[in-house]
Amino acid sequence: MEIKKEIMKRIVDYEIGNDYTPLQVVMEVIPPIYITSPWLHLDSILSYLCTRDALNDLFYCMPTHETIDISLLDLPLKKTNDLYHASVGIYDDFSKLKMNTIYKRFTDKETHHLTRKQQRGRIKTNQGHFKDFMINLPALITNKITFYCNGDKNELKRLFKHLTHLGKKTSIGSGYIRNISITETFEDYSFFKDGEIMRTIPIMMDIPIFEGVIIQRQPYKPPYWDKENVTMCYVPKNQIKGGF
Amino acid sequence: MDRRTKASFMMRSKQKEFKNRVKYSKKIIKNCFETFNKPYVAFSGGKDSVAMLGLILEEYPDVHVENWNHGSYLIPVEYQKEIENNALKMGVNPKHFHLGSSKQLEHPDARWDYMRWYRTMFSYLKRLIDSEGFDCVCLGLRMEESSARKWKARNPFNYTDDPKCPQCYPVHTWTWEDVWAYIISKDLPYLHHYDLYAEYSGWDNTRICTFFDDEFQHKNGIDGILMSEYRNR
Repeated sequence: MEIKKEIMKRIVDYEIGNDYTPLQVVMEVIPPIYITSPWLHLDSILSYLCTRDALNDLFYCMPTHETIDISLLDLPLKKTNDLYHASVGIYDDFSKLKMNTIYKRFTDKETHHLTRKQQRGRIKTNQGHFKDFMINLPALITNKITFYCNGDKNELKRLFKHLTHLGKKTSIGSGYIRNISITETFEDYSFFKDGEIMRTIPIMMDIPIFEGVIIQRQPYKPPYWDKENVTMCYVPKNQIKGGF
Repeated sequence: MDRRTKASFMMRSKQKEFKNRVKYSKKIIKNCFETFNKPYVAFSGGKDSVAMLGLILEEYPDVHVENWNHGSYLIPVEYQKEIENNALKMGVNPKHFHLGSSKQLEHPDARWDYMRWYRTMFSYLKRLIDSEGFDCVCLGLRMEESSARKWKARNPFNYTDDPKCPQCYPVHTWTWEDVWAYIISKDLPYLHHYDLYAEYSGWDNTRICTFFDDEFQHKNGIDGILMSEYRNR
């Protein structure tokens, strides 16, 4: 309970710069990137970085049996009606989607993780922490991902120094980020660009509706896995299904 | 399906090996319908079911067909409608088309509580078999699918799983190429899902199973990308 109180205190007390300017963030990555959703949201990446920044050492001893509410966490992004000014990632034109199979099995390399009791007994590879698995994951092959946002440039630069990978299975080196460049733009493209929706926008928000707009039930703010954030939204184009 | 893939499956359908397999399958079906009084076909809507149903309807157009509606959380309504329409397009007698469903599956929990699915489906099947008097079920299992199926479907008839209603596997020796060759050569309707997924998984690995189902998530991680509109319904 003490830890949870301390975590919540740090989240509420966390302050970050608010000198907002329209920005373009280009991330050069080494493929593949393992994803399970068509979109990579910039605000979700930043909420992870800010949580880690705010909690510091406590980030690594968060309670595992309950979730932490990060709705009060301050992000270095402009916010309009509960919606961050941050777009989804735009993949480059030569992107492809492939299916990859990942195998995990217990090897000698993991023996130093074992407790004394485990070292003396048998290791179960059909259940528990060392369970073997085979999993099929979609792998996105892309070299560049572009995001648009309206945020604090200096804070973004500082936070992105701690970002090394994108997507899932980063421990096996997927989605390694080679370089991140942040440039200023004249306009804020975090919601719309060239007549296209750039992020999930709840339909409660009064926005001009144009032809071909897609409405789906999707989350619109981080954490994106949380079903409580799901509502009817205008969604950006599915770049993978609709062709890159 | 693109023109080149279609042409390759058409070529497969002209090979002797394929023709022998079709002949063998027809023999199994004949044997099944002569041995048992009232067999029925379990039709899932997948490619194996389509091929098997096509084969059976050639000889026995009045066969009883059973389809299970998994509920809109596991199979989107549009897909379920397409499966039913495909069965009717293939020539199934609407009076002999049994559509099973359960209210329990119309709940978000159906995605993770997979015992709910097993419980409802098998209790429905038991009721159906008792009420209609079915004494055999034709299933589209193939040995090639997995090592478990290789063992289960090694013989065309299985009397051990349910001695009251034995199982018959008419296409148990077929490969994925044979299945597609039969579907394409006979111009049978198949789910548009295959066209969508085959682009990424290949025609050999594409299979239909319940979407966003915890039991199969390790196999179908691609659902989140290609079927994202159904994830948060």
